[in-house]
Amino acid sequence: MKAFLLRLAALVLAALVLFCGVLGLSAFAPFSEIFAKLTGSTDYSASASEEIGGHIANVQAADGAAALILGDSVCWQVFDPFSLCNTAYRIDGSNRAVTIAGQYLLAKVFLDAHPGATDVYLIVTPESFSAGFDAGYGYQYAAAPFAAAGLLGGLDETTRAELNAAYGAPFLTGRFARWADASPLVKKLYLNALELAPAQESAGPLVPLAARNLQNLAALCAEQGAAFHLLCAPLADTEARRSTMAALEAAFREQGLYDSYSAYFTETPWYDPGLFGEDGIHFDNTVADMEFYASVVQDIQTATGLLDGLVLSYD
Amino acid sequence: MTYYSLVFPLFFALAVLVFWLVPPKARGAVLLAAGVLYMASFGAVSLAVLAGVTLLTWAWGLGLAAANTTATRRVFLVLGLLSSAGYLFARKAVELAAPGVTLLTATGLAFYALQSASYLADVYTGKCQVQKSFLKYAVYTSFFPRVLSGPIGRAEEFFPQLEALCAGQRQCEVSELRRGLITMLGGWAEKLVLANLLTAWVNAVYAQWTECSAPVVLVGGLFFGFSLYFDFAGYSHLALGASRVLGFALAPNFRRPYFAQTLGEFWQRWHISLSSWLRDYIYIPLGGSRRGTPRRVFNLLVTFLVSGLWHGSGWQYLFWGLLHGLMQSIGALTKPLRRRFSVWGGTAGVWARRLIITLCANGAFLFFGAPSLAQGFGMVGRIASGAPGLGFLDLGVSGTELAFVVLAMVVAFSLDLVAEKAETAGSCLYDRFIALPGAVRVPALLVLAVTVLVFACRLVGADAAAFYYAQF
Repeated sequence: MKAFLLRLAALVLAALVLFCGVLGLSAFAPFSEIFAKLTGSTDYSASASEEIGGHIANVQAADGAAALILGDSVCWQVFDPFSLCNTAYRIDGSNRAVTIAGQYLLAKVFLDAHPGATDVYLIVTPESFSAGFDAGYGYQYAAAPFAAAGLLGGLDETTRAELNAAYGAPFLTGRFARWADASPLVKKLYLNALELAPAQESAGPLVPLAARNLQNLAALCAEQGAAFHLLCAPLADTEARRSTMAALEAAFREQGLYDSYSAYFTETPWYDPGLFGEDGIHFDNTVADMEFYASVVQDIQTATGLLDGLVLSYD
Repeated sequence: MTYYSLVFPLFFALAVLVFWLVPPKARGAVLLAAGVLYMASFGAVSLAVLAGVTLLTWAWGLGLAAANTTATRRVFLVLGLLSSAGYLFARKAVELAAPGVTLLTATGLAFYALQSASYLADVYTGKCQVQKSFLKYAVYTSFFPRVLSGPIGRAEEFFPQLEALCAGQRQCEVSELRRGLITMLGGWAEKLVLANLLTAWVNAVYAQWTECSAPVVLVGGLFFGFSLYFDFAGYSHLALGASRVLGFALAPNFRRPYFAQTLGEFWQRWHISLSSWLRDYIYIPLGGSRRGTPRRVFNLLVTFLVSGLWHGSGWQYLFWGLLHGLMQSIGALTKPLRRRFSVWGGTAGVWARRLIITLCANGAFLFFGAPSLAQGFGMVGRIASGAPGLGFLDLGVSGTELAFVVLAMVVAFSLDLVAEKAETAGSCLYDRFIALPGAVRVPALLVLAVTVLVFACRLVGADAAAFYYAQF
């Protein structure tokens, strides 16, 4: 019996080792696609990493940009149409899953590559301040792309500890991030394992991760001689959005951040809810066009007196 | 907690370990505890119904054994049958007659209700002894390897083995453990590799049949039977393997049905535990083939209609049963004629007969797989119309997956062929496999295990496709 059990254990172990071999193989073409199809993993592509990797590459690019516009998907919607007609501004709105920590890293990369930069803008909706390292999009947007680029070391110790607690240190290495991006099967197994035992997440309008990295971002800009501006992205003028802003304002006041960022609340660009899509957060693309977005940016420029020289036309 | 859930291997390993480590007298209690825990994972209602049916049928069994007169014995038998199979069939009939009305049901009821009914009938006819121990009877109904979807057990098969295990006459043997685990691995492969992949495509055909081309509907309809086979045979192998690891040798539930040369033989090979239950407790009590041809035809039709009703409260299941009843009747009526041709054609003739039976069985399964009888006829109409529409690769299942399904089916049916030949020679597939040199056996097991692990990944992050027969 003992010999049988030992042989059984050896067989199970060998099968697991071979399975790990399959996982390794699944990162290489053509096996990546074959295993993705056979295991129903095709939805776990590297699109998030490619998207954020693109932003990292953009902000790193040695160009003549002196100012950086970062933000969430509303910022991207409004400002991205003008990204190609601006050389002094690097426009890189992404999404809120990047978290404020991710925005901090993008700003850091930009400032490192552009020593003479004068301004950094962070233009986000209130939801960005409640985004943490969740088991859903967090790893794909806020951790893996930065891990793959070897940038996570730029975060403060507390944020790194939070990342480790949420995703596990071995999975925050560049090697694993690149492996998971190359193998949809590996990414599927890892992300679903995260769902099985999700880390404790902070909740509230202003999570500690966002507050801390907002302060880090301001300090970083000050250190590099650039001005930091926190602006509110356009919001639908509804009761729900007003109450969200009120809760965020209270949280900013509570943490002593309000005075530094009062413009975020006093110069909020409110718009008719009819201009927004079903989610009530993004503009409805069927009614919004380049001209409309230009007018929105102009509204922000007028209200804040910032974003000077931002080109809003390809003429 | 099904066989492919993440928790099951841990639960099973723990149950096996405790079962073999405790003193033999306590083995029954361990099995009962495992059965209760297993059923509890499907909800309190399922557990309560199992407990209710078990308690009632055990009590009626005691009453039946103690009764002195035939009339009293009959009363206890009827009460027992009403508490088990009677309730089950009444529930299905009510739901069929009054759509929307749902009576109390529970996971596995269709299987353990028939088990309890057969126990009472066997006690009544003296085929088996009454089980005085409630614990042992409860183990019989709640035996976790098969409580979900069978095989439907028989008292005379189960109790002697349980007695032997509890008396310490049967010990844990390496050969049985090995055989049980390899059988389970084969079952997992059938379910996870073949059935789930094939079902994904077949389900897509059934869901979009109005847009599919006629050839796609034809192949999808005919392949539903194959997906059902690999699903249910996979489950059955898991149940048989798990039982064997626990020291129980249960009779097989499938014996390569697509190698049958007559429909009668098909039913001796497909879901054998249900077919034999229907034969022993419906067909034969009705008179079987002993009362002339018209009565035999009537008995066949009734038996297969009951089979259809057992499968579900839908007209498509009754129609499927009726089709089989009619085909069996035609088979019975033409038997003398067919006997003349049964030796014709040599090997080619054998394969031609197998093909015909496969087409008949899977043709009927087309209706079985449809959510309604109207859809079943609609699909047949679409096949006949030759309508154009979505192709084989337009249903969200990639060519890679379909190619793998075809490859896996070729391997599976090749193994069935080896098993068929082995059985003719008085052996079996397992014996043939175990006789292979270790240099072949071990790599084959490793490849199978890794393939199962890879395909188990399909279940991650999605609602796992349940075993088809668990719904009954």
